[in-house]
Amino acid sequence: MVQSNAMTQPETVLELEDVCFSYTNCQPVLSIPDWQVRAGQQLFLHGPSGCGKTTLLNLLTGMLTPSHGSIRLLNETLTSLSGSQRDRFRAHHIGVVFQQFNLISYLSVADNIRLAAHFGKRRSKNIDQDTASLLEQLQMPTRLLKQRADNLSVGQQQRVAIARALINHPEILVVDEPTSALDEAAGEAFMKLLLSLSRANNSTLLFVSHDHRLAADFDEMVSLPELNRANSHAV
Amino acid sequence: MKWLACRNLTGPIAMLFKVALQSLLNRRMTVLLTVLSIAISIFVLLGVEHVRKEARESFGRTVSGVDLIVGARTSQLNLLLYSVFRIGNATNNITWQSYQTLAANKAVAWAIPISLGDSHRGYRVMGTSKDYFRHFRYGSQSPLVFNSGQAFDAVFDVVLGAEVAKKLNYKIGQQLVLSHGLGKTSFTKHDDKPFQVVGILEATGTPVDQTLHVSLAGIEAIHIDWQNGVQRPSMKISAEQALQHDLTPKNITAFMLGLNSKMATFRLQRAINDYRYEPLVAILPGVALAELWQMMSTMEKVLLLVSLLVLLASLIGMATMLLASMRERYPEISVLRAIGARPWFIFTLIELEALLISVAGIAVALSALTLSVAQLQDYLGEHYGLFISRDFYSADVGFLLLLVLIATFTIALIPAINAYRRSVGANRHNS
Ligand SMILES: Nc1ncnc2c1ncn2[C@@H]1O[C@H](COP(=O)(O)OP(=O)(O)OP(=O)(O)O)[C@@H](O)[C@H]1O
Ligand SMILES: [Mg+2]
Repeated sequence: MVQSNAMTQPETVLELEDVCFSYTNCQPVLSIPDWQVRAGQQLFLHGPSGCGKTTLLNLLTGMLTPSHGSIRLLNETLTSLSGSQRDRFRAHHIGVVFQQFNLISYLSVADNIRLAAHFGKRRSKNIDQDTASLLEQLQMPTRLLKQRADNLSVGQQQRVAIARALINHPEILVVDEPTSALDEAAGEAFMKLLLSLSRANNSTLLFVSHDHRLAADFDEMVSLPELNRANSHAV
Repeated sequence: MKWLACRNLTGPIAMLFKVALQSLLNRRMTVLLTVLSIAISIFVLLGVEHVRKEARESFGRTVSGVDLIVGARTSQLNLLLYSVFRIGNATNNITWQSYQTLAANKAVAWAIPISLGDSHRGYRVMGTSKDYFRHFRYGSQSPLVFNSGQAFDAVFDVVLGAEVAKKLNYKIGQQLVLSHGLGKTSFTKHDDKPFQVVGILEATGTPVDQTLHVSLAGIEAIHIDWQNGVQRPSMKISAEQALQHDLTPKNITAFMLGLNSKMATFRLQRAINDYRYEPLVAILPGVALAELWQMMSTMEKVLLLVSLLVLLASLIGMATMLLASMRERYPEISVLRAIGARPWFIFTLIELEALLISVAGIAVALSALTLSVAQLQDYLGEHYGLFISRDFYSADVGFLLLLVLIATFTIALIPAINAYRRSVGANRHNS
């Protein structure tokens, strides 16, 4: 699984410079003068609700573009790419896991993963094989592959989301409060799997949560309000 | 269909189709209703178009080579309808005397008398002369051809149109009884004077197929003991006795004329219209048909407009359905975007769903049309002397269907652009 990551891994995988973002013209939500993340790190990003965590992740994945400043990811200046180049970059290099609703409900688990592989341009014939092995590592029976995604329990869906995010062996894994819909036991199990799989995959992990209890096993903890110079209106 | 076969869907178009199909199947109830509504409107549109075109052709085919049709004074349309299409009734008869006088005119090459008013199990009976089989033309100057037997000779001989023989399963030599008056439910039968089938005509695709032909003498014979529409029991006359009587008709309903020279048409028409002894009218079938077209064309335009509006309504219904589903599909769009789908993919997905719905609607409409045109064919033929073909595929239909698809695409721009716009913004639902 490591080989596709063999592309020249830079020392810093992520670099923000003078980034400013606001939804409307008035107050900026984010203003980050300088921030770097080293390759292979597992990073826990926290901050109160409404402080801009999801917004930051959307900037990093290229779903939003900053008002000014530059974002560099894997030696690529995201902010100078066109919309469709950013979409392609995201498909190839970033795996995303949301809080919930990670899967397309009417597609089977297998098709959900296949669709991600399709956009990631993985022309490999072993997608099915990789999928099966990922599911095994996530401790899920392969018979679930044929199930419709919304037939799975929420915990199962979130685990499939990890598989879906890792199928293209992304250099960066972006995870936004994935356990909030899970009970404590399921949440713990999820965290264990996520950390071990992202490590096995050599991915840099950016994990967002307001729940400090989850931070234990991470390399580094970052508080967004400390990073953010915008006079944040944390609730 | 190849994309259905391959299990590992990796091609971009295959992927798109797969997602669109699954998404539609996921909402199969609303989708089914939408498909039905579109199918119905396409069915109406194509059905109306087909019947309209075929009706024109059928009417135009019904009579040819007849220069003038003469009847008691009435509108030219009415005369055309009852004499040729067997629709409606004559208001008045004309005397045999007038017929003989006018048929003897120097300009006249041939004359066919027509006497209507009786029926047999819903099919109309026409009294005429043998000249009918010799001179009558339909389509592009096609003469009537006998499938079996020959023209009537004896008073109680009858020649059947193709449809009559087929539907009622009559063979040469069989006997049948005519009813007085029209309609299937006529209770007064001329059952004392049965007729024998001596000839069956080839199918023509005109009202001839729906007609039983007897001699004028035959018509006279069955009415010999009738007066004012009722049989008078006191003076019942048997079939054999009737043959002893003079069976020259006193009245006929109308007659057709073929002229030696077309040049004489208008002169003779004027002469007949000014006929001194009886109020008559002579019409040119072509001119009367043109009047019919004109009357029909307004109707046709209205029908076409109505069916186009119905189609528009159901396409808007579809757009509404797609637009209403966008709210619940927002998580789905976020997921697609997160795994790298471009906004264009989402735009195309919605358009494809709309087009798939329309294509399904078209398929349902065409199958329904195939089934119902066969039914309609019988009905229209029997009741209106309209003969429509079963084959409704034509370049026009292709064009209309293309138009439907273009309209679908255009109207689906509303939900598709909505989805596109949403997908360009961030994934709000996760914040
Ligand atoms: N699409 C949007 N349009 C306008 N304002 C937005 C939008 N999304 C978020 N915001 C605003 O930006 C700020 C940051 O929101 P964001 O979703 O990034 O917070 P968050 O840290 O992820 O919060 P939470 O922990 O509750 O998920 C909030 O004040 C929010 O109201
Ligand atoms: Mg958030």
